[in-house]
Amino acid sequence: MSVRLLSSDSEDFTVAKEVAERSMLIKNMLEDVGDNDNPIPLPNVTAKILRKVIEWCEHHLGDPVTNDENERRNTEIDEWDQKFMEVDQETLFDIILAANYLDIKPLLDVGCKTVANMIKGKTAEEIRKIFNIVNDLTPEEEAQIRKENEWAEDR
Amino acid sequence: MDRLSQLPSETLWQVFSSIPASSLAHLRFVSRKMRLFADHPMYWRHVILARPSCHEEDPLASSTSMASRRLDLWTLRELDFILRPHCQVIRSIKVCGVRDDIVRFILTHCHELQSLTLCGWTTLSNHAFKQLHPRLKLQRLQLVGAKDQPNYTAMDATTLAQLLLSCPLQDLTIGCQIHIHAATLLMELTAKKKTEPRSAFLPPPQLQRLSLGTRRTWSLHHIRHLFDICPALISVALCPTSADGTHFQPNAFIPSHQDSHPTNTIVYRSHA
Repeated sequence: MSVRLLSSDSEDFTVAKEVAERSMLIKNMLEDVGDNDNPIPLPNVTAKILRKVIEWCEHHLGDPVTNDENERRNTEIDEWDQKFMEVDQETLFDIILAANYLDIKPLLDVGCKTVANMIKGKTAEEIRKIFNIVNDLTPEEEAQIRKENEWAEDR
Repeated sequence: MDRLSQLPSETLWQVFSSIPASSLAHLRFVSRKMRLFADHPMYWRHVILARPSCHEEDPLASSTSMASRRLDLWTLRELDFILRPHCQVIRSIKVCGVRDDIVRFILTHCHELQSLTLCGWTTLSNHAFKQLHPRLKLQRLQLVGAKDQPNYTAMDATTLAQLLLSCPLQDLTIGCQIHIHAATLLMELTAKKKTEPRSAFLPPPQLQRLSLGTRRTWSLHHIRHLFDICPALISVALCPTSADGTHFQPNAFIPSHQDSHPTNTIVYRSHA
């Protein structure tokens, strides 16, 4: 059985039902509407991102579903996922938002961990550069933060 | 605004929950929003500090040339930078690669600390445990030696007795080479209670579980005496070969060490 999905830019995707059902959003929708041939509109996901998401869902089709938050959180990203996530930052964030919207928790996990890995081991200045973050802390606030971290030699 | 800061809050929470404390310490300087998240007490109640060189899942069993690998230790300066702003909220710390001054910093500054797990060091001495915050709430202390490392702990019986009398320790595991002279420990525990006027107010040791990586000088009558002194005591385990570091998993908090004793451990249990 297959399901039709319609991206925000009106591209029509036909995917196996069990692939589409990796998305809890789509799964619930399918349960609500029952069997019919109309495509499911996904107004928040572009064709480019939907193609990536479907690729991920197809690869992970056989994965056991774990509901254990901790277990999911503590597993490292596997090699295939690492390769899968080697995309530009715009695409990475779009995949994360799509996974969030489509409610595909394991994909959201992989996305979040990928971002976390980009942050690990970096200084504040490096992090700002990587993500293009504007430092909106006032000099007073920065001084205050530094004071909190201050090293006292008297120990 | 940048894409990271624009993520929905619950997604940003999730990203932050995969970031180690050592990196959160840098994130707090990035921007207001990053600071708001990086400083949230939720990330600081339970802190795990593994050196970057430690393997993520199992810092102690990654390389094949373990014996030759030099243990990577934190410096006090690094640890201070990470922990200082959050000392008030920290309830548990699990840290790999420590020195005396780091243990002392933790025990004097993090007075809400309930559980401390130390894993991997080259030498630890009495200095690590002598200065305690006067209201230290420490309930569990675990010293777990790193695999194939010397891990000698030069903590003596006097210091251990002091530790037991000055904080509500319930669960103490010293799973590394240590020499705690049984008679001295017992004497210190009882003498302090009788002689020092101040210690008249000290509660009796609240110890429930004790595991020691030694068997020397301990005989059955010492164990009996210890059960007499510590009314809450449930079990004493003497495990001379527990210095193998296998207890330490940086990503998981150990619920109890009681079920994973090495084979030649002798366990004594209270009859009550």
